Amino acid sequence: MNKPDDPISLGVLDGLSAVLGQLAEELAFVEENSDRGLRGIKTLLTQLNVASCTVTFPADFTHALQLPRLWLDGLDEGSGFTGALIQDLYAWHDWMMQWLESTVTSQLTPVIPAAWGLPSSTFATIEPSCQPGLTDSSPHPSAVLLPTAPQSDGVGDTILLDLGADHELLREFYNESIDLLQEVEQSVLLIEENPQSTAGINAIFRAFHTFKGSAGFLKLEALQLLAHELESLLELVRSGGLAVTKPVIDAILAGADALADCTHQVGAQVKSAGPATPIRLSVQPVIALVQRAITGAAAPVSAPLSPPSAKDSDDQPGEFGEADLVPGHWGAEAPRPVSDADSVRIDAAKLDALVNLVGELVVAQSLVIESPALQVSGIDLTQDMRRLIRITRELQRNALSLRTVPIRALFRKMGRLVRDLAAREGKQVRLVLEGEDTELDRHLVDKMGDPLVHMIRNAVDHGVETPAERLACSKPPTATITLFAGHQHGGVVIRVSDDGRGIDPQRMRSVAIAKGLIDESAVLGDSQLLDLMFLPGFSTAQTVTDLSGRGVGMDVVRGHIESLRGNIKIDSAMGTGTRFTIRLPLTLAIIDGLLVGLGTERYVIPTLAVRECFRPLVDAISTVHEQGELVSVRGNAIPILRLGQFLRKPMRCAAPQDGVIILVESAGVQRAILVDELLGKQDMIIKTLGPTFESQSAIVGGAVLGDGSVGLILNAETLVRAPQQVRHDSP
Amino acid sequence: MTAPDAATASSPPVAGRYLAFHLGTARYAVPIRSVREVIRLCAITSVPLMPAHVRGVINLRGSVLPVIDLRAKFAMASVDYDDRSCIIVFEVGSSVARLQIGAVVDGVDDVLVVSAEQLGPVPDFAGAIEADYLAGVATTSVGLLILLNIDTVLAKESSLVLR
Repeated sequence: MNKPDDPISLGVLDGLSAVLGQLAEELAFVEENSDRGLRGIKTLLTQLNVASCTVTFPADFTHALQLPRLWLDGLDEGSGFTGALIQDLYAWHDWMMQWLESTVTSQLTPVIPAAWGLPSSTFATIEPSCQPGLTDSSPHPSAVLLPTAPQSDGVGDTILLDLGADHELLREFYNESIDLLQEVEQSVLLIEENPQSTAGINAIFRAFHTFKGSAGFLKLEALQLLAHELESLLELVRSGGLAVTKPVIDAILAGADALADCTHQVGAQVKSAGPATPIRLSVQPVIALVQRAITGAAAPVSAPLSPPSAKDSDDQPGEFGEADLVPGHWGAEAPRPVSDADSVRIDAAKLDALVNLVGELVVAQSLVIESPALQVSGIDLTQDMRRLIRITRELQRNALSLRTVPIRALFRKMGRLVRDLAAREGKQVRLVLEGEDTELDRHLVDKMGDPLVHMIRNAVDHGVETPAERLACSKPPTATITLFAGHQHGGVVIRVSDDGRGIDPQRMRSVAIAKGLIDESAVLGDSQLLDLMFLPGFSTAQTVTDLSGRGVGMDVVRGHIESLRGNIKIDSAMGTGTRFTIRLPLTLAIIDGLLVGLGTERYVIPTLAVRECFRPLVDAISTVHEQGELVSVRGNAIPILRLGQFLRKPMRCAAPQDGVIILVESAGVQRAILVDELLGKQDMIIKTLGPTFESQSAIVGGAVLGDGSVGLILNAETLVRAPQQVRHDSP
Repeated sequence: MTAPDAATASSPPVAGRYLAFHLGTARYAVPIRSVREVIRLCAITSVPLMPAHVRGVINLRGSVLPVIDLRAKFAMASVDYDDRSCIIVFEVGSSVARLQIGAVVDGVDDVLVVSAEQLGPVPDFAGAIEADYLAGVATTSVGLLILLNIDTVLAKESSLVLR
């Protein structure tokens, strides 16, 4: 394979083999005594160089890579390829392909032919392939030995999972927690390097906070307790009350390890088909350690750094419960992350690539089907083609469904949360779900979980009143929290609203002043005052409980949403309720689009915004001041926008009656868009054009059309508002 | 192939591997690390209401990629694209927000190693030429190469400075 310390990524190898494939095509057309294809080959060789230069390859490969350039440079001007050279190029190509093949399959790479001249080193061909060091997938950071005796009768030392009712939730808990704890580990490395790193400290704090929330939600009390202590420790560090010292870091790591151990056990039970068995764990020593770190008492000097915490059980029987596990079930060893047979976590980029490639497949398919060559040949492939089309369509549907899910599962999860919270708070709350079927990107759904939990908590804790309070202001005793999801303006909108007491802007103001977030003399409007809740460290909660936040809530929520390139707005009216509106950009969405022709170009208008299409009669057209054109549609005069004029592109039709009118409506405004022709209607995947075109309000995105080119999707909102005399104000 | 990769930031030019390309007779080089791939010219969908140098978008294996014309960007006379024209796909931006942008050039030449001795500072054009785009020059065996600060060149298109 490669040098042991430098594995070549598959991506690079893919790139190389793609270029080699193109080279093969070029080589196939090369003829003796002609220089046809020479230029193309040289360009491809350069591409090959580009594709390979990000990685250090073994010397023989590097050497071979340079050979054709040398050969081709030796070619006499204008004389063309020689037969020998063509043979050499073929041999070279074969060798390269073999080399790649064997590298991908981790076999011995072929030996470079002696005639090519040998590079100085041959180690690459004899070095046995090396497995990247996967000796221990979870190297536990150092944990401190705990001198206190384990208190086996401490709070929640045994956890019995309710695998029947909570199976889905536990699986999610496991997946989410593994990520969180990995985040903690990474952030710890960050603060070890730079103890002043607030980003690192905040990240750990949030991870523990979220963990605590999830554990509390699932009634994993021991874990919740430990996470709470860890959170308190971090809170102290965050507020500057404690410096990041080694005992603090050790406590964080020990805590994270303990949480991870238990999480893995939870994961193992979730995946095993067997009945739930009690997970015994002793979090008390770890909690004691954390508490010592909080009080600043250094761990006893004699405490040596221990090896991985799993081995703590040697010193402390019963620690993390190994001793009492059912033998042969999930074993007496520290549980390892188990590969999940039912669900797979996939890199989103790979999914995107898959979706894109399937799109390309559909394009390629239609190119073949519509190929004139096929029609001329007279071969009847209708039957086979139909089958192919069916399969590709199914494939595309499946590929797309990998990426999008209905928001239902996430919303339903909130149902349980509201019930539990309301019961604990002594409130009566009804959760209304709207738009559960709204499909959105899986990635968005995953990321929206935390913010929604925070917001629902806030709504139940602070937003809605107790039944008595509600009756006092003549509201029904049962409060309503509404979760809404839907597509709007080409994006996704999620709303969390309650009919509670609303938020008092003046109270926000006094809290913000008390916390030193704003100056006493600051002049702020009500909505600005409400926005204060998104500031880090702002919290109106009076007490710290395991349910309400400590001011992490809304700033975390906003951070989360902004990281998804979305925004959040708050409206509140005293006495009637509060509404949070989250707007997320579309990452992947399919729209039904109308394909229209304009000159030689094609554009897409979202069908959703189209009321009707027609070829106007001369009589229906009238003008105002010989400038503005109107078309009369069933008695309504609607202004015409010539698309070509608006986009500054040539149009074929000179008068409206030569073209087609697309009646577009957005936000209640109608506009008759004049185009040259109507080309068709199809489902397409909207793709963002990226920041390059952010100044461009006329185009909302692109879509790959049937022939593989990109069609631009027009923004209906901009179209209806466009003035007929367009100012050219692009940068 | 073992030379260190050239830095991509708009720092002084460093020795390393560069991709050489040309626009007419002008020869340029960019750090190889900022180059994602080189593709052949394909159908470009023009995007209306954009500056002239923003040619439009292409479909690169299913993703939509913005494409600019470097000639237009550098206010050079435009020429018809021919079979040597190709699109260099650059990857610019910080480590957190990477963005791919294609740039049409007249042709790519080679990947070459520029050593420290070959590097020279940006010549003083007394403001006649936008100096921010230039990182320096390199005197190589194939002639003088102008080293581009590609992040700066594409900054506006990738909204790196506008954010």
